[in-house]
Amino acid sequence: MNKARGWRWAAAALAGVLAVAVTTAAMAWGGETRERSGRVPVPALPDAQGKECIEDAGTMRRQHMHILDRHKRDSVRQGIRHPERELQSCVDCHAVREPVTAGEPLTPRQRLAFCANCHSYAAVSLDCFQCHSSEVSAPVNQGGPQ
Amino acid sequence: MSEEQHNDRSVNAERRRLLGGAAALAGLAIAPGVFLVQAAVPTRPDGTPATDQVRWGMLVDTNRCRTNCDACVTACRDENGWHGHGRPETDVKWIRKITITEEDGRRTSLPMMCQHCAKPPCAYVCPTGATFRRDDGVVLVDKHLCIGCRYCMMACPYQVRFFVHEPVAADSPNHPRGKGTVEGCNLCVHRIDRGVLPACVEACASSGRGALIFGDLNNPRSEISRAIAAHGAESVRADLKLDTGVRYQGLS
Repeated sequence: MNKARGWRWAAAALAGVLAVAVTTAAMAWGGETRERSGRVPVPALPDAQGKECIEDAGTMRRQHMHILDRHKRDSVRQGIRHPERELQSCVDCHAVREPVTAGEPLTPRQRLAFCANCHSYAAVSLDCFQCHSSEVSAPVNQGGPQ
Repeated sequence: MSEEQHNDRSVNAERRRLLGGAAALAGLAIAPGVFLVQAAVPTRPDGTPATDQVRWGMLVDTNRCRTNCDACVTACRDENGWHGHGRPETDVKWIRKITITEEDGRRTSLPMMCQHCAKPPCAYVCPTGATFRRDDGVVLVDKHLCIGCRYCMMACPYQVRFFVHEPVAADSPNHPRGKGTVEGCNLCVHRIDRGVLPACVEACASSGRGALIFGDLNNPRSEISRAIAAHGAESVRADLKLDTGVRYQGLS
């Protein structure tokens, strides 16, 4: 009697584990197909000018705000310069250069579609560019000290 | 940083050294003791903090400064992107030309900007720590922290801090500006950190009469220290004992 109950418990546990595994896999697969199907408007990210960023894409996606925050404090208060980590370097590399509507100048929102598209998707407000320039800097300023 | 960029930068550094050497030789060749080109600002490598071994300062020779010249003001405006709105009471003026008339009628023209005090009253009164003195003596506003209370403007005896009353176009990559914060001369930190003279000094040398000398007050061999040692210099309102980084010659 006890043995039979034990078996029943084992079977139930196994079924539970299988159910969780199948659901997780289905969700992962489903997520991928959703992204592929284009039914959910995933943010479109314009191509950057450079070949590679200062960190890999995954790290940048998760950590860019911390990298910028750290650099902001270090550079303003202690004068520690890392030209490649400056916000202006991000703009110089990621800003859209070709006009979206022919003959009309780009708005800051259009120029920084790389930031803005993802931020509006994630509903995170972005106020760096209330003060910081969204314009691509003159070549003499690009890539840090010349 | 990519290898390519790295090489580019070392090439540039090499070029700068060569040009600097050539300029020094040219200066020497004209007459001993007469330098046509000012010594370049010593550079600090990327990734290292400003230290108190250096104290940046500026020397204004008022004997050379002309009343009708505002090359320094124009250069500063272009470099840092501040523009007036035709309202003198509230307009931002990082640097302005003033004329002092002595009792005997003698008139002295001089530029007035943040004096980069060693004991800055503005920093002492700032409630958020936004105004601070960097280790190399530059007094700055950290606009990420500034709440626009304007205590610093009241504390400053030189009236060289300004509140941004109106929306500004963020058009200068050199200095982010925003309505609701206080700002003033920052000695062009973005330039001196990469070894370039402040915009006003450069403009005064090229289109003015070379009345401005920028350099390290701590280094007795720097051009500014030698000029002060040779001819003396004083602070405006020296009675306040603020130990200013900007000094003047020919005031009294």
